[in-house]
Amino acid sequence: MAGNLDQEAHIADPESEEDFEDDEEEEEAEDWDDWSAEDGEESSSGLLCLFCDANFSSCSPLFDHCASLHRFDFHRVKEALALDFYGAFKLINYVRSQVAENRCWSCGLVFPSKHDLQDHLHETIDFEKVKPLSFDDRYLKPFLQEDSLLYSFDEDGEGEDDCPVVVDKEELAMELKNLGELSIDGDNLLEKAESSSGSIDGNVLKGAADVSSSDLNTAGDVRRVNESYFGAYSSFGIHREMLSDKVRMDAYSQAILGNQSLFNGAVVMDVGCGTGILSLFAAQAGASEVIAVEASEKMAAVATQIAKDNHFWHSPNGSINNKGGVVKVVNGMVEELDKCIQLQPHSVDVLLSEWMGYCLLYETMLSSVLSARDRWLKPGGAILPDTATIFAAGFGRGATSLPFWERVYGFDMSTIGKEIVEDAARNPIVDVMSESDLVTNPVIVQTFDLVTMKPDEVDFTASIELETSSSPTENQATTMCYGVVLWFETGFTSRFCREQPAVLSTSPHTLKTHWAQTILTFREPIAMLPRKADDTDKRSQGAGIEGSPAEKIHLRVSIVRAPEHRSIDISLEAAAICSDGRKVTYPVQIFNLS
Amino acid sequence: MYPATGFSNGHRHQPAGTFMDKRLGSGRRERARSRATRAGPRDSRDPDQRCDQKPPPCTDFDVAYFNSYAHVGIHEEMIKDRVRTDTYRAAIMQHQSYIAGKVVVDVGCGTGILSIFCAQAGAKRVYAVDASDIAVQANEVVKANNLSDTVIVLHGRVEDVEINEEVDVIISEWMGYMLLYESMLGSVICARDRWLKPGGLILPSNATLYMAPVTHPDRYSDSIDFWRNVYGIDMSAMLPLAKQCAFEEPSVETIAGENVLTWPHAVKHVDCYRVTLHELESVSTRYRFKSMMRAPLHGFAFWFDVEFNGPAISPASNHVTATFAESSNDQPMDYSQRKKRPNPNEALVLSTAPEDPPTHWQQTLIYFYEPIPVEQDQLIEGSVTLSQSKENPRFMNIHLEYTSGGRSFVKESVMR
Repeated sequence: MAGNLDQEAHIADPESEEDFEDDEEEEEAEDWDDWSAEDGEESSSGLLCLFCDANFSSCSPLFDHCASLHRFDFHRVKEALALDFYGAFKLINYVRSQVAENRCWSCGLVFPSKHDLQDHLHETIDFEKVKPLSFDDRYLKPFLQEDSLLYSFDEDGEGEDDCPVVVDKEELAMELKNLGELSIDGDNLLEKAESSSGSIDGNVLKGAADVSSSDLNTAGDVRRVNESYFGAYSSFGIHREMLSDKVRMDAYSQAILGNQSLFNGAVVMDVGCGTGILSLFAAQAGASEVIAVEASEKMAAVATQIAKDNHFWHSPNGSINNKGGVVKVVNGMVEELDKCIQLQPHSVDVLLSEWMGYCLLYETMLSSVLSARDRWLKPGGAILPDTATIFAAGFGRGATSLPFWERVYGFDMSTIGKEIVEDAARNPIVDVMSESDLVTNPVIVQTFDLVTMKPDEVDFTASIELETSSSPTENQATTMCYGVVLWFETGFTSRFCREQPAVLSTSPHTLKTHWAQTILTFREPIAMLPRKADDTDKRSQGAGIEGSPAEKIHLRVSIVRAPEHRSIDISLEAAAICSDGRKVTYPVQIFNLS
Repeated sequence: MYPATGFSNGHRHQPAGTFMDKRLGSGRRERARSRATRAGPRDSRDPDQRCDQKPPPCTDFDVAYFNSYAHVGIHEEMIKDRVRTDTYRAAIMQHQSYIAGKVVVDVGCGTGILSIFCAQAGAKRVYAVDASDIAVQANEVVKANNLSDTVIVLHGRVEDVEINEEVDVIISEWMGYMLLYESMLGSVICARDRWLKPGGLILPSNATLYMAPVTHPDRYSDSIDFWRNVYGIDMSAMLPLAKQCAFEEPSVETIAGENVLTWPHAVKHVDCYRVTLHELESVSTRYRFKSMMRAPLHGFAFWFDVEFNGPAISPASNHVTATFAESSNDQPMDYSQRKKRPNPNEALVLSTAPEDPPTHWQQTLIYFYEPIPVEQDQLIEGSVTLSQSKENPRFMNIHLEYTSGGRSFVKESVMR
């Protein structure tokens, strides 16, 4: 039986001997490039049947064989049990383990010999019995030493490639290890994140929200937050929003597709690739290799599929069919990249990432980009974007809801408006600010040069001065400044983007983006007048109040990473300064984002 | 009662806990809907027990629920819903003769706006009850408008606070998405059982939940087709995820009359004078629709209306009776006649129907993962059951069975 099948398996179409040899050689070159080098011994040729000794060059005939001869329809079972990649992986190991004991994987009956088992094998009727067994994590470990089937069963099945898709073995092993670690952690938060990420419409990500500030800094807590963070990132809705953000997309596509001289033949790394859109742009721009790193398992799988569907995916065996295949998707955190793939340090020409969070720094993804820069980027290599700037401006009463609450159906509900302001003085508001509500000129709070900045410079303190935007000659009226609004810009400067530099701006003066702006409200509004407008009244002692409006507001702004992983703390210290130098300092306000 | 931008806190703001979520998934403003965090099981009390016999304990979950209402922005949203607020004010004015000189209880008063309207209408005394911290602000508002003699704000649950007199009128804006989701109706029942005089007035007096089959090709293509071409890239690999996320849970959004395939069916009728807690635990109905047009069937829409009926006012024509709710929908006439402008002697109706001006409740849509092509006059039938989730009684399980064109389906979802 085995003998016949061997022949059947090896010869795709039973033609001449020459063809056979050619086929075999070709297959050898394609299939075993990656992993024969690692083991001294030559592993048994091809893929081993689950139930008998038959050998196959690819999994399609193997599974056909199992279905017809051993009544094991792999694809059907996979579907019936709704198994994902790892579920199928475990299934194969499980079946092999049962066969090794001469036990029917489906009904559990044991037989004296393998042949008896083979005679017995029947179609599975009751999947319920099998289900719990195949979910056991011990089957994540390959049952056979060298089981090439495990690395090829997830074939495309499109019929486009003749050669099977072979997954990078080490990469897979690493992914499995990570997966195993994650599930062993068995934390409620991960489950919550998983369950809520499936129902994202309006649902609070309980995992993130519930991590209290009392859980500080332990590796476990970092992991938990990371898991919720990465779990949530796999929710398709945010990707929809980001991909629909035209300002964002235009800036990046211009920076990449408009600078082909930078990308042509380059080795590119995309940190946090999501759906992989930037990697695909890079491939389109002529990159020779794109390493797309994504820590969310779900999104990494999606990015891989998208790259394949668009013929950009790099198959590890260097498939001849796919010359344009330059994109490799790696599932893992970029800080742990060396655990996932083999890559020479400082071998990347272009580091690409869309890392910006609310208020620029929320999410702390910048730290990951910098760590990638320090480890993987060539000296003199390009970073896109290469600059980032935080701006601030003061806003007026119209941007608050105070006016609304003053008269509600004829009633004075201003007490409620006050309550809102008090709350806003502790909590940042992410919302779109209308430029007509700004009362001061914009001012740069901090600039980051991504090429040279040190990792700890993501925490900073800056001093700025705000002056009213109305000119001294026109409006003499006092303006009340109710707080500051922060926004950012990132630059794809001509330092690297020589052909077409670009700027991504989230300013209230330009088209809105999904980042909107970040609104920080003062506990008390500060009265302001344009410079030189009024310095005659020296009787009042205060500054920044109606009687003696301030000429400028001096602000000390600090943004630092909070103890809670991925959160930031913003502190504001405001001082109102009159034209004659009188100054009133306001108590510091701390905005919590945890 | 739950605004479209759920967890607003102050001026279009989200409480700290959800700040991260803006980037990470939920509570996005551009979304068709967001929701406030509602957590907390209903108390584990005996459903048949009347509220006045044994006040159930206030759990941590209840506290969290009440806390979400302290976030003031929700109230801004609700007050700004003119259809809602104007209709309530008009209803109060219409019943002025039953309110002037009488004692009123406003269940879940929020900022106190309805209590103030009642005071304006001449109420002798208004007890404005709210368990959320917003009651503190309501008290300030009452003071600022010199109504402290008339309006007494009670900060606490209706189950716990004490009112030492009988009450003539109960007013409340208790309705949630899909009418019953997270509904405060239980508290209204409690207030009724504890304090309402026999023959007393309840506003609104009754409520009806409707459902209808809908077609919404724009929405479907918007969620799904988007992925086929993204800047020239084929991202259809996202489709399974996209469908799952877009259609797994009920979606609160606004649809138009044109989206509805035929006259709606009344899922549940609530008579606020007689409804019991027990009957709210699980609501079930069978339906049978005949599509009026040829279109892809994308799912079902749910909406409600409430009526402000009083003893002296004749019910709106075709006032729904208890029998209507249970029978299958072969009474299209009732619904269409309802749409005539009510004359002054008829009860006011606050409607959230797709053909009526939009409200912050919008409509609640349950989409199928795959649309079903439907011909004109084709039957769509099945059942729907809404029940309190065991996981959390403030959550609602929706079990939907539907059959059309010879194929049957079941869809389970949870409104969290």
